Amino acid sequence: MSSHHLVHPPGVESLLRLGEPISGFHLLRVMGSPGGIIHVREGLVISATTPASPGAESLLIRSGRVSEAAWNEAYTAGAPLGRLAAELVERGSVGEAGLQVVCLSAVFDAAFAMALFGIEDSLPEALGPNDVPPPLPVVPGVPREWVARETARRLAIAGQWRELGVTPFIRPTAVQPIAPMKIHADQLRHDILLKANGRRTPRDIAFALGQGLFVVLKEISSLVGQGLLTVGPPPPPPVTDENVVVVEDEQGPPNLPRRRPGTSKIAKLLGADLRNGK
Amino acid sequence: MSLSALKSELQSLRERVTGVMESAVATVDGLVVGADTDTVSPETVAALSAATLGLGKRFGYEVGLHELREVVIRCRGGYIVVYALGNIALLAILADEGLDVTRLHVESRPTVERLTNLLADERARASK
Repeated sequence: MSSHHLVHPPGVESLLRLGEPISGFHLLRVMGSPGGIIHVREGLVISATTPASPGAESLLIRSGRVSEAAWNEAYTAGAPLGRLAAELVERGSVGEAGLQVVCLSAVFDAAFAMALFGIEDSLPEALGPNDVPPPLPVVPGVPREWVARETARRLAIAGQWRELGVTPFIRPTAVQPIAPMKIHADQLRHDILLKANGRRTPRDIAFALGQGLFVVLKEISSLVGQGLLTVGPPPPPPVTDENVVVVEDEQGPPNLPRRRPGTSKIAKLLGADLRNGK
Repeated sequence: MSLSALKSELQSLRERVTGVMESAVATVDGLVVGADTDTVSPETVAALSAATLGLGKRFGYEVGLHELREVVIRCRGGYIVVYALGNIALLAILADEGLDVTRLHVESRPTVERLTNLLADERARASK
């Protein structure tokens, strides 16, 4: 695909400040809802993080690719020296190529997520030697034009999903109880169906599973297309008073729940123990 | 008490702040007032949040750091944030690791104020 025929959506231009030379080490503070941060070194994107998509750490740990213990050991040994990635590789937790693939996909996913949720602007801030660099950078980095092109491509695909009613703001619900998985290849679809309870957005599901937002949205669209997920608003949760223990007591804060003497059964237990001790 | 008003406040906070998953309002002695929960037990959250808030307040005073702002706990899978609602209740928020904590602090202020007013109004109304 030639980049010449792709006109970047306006948000993508401002997301990456295309056409502006960015030398040295900068971060781009992306204004939006929720926005995010892009680290740029010598014009190349080395990291992108946003609350809208799981970062490399979440992708590695939540998905089970790196264990919590291995992460902690590598972090303790490597993070203060800025060599967390090297520690993870040297300890055999993850291969060097595999780690770079995860970091790269986290960058593309974050750029897509920020653009999808909406960008107002991005402001460059110069970073100095005392600023903490991103823990898992892409080495040496990705040209901004490449990130913009991939983001535009993904936004175009997301436009097709919108026709099915699949947007980042839906809270999909599984149509029927989840059947046991038939083949291993269905794992992600199965996991998405399990998490789709009408409360979680695609972004929430992506975090819960440690998978990229783009991949999760793609599977949700496919599941909606097959009638296995519904994107209609879920029935409102019944508002009942079952959680409220209302005890009218003139001496205390009225109508807020109050402890009743004897509820904990501690006196009874103590009494029993005393009797047993006799 | 207008439990539906309380629950709409909790649901609205979850919809406004990316990363917020569940929340509960409880009394400072750990009883549930209302909750917007999915996977956790509101009773457990209420009891542990009450202990957390008390500990945070006490710790701040003991080491001379004065008034408690909020308690933030960071775990592998996300955050637990506890705000005081006046001196009678608390708001506990559970969020995933994508939470922007600074944004939550900004966005939760009006919610904390409205919830505090809701509870205070209820006390005033019921004591008439």
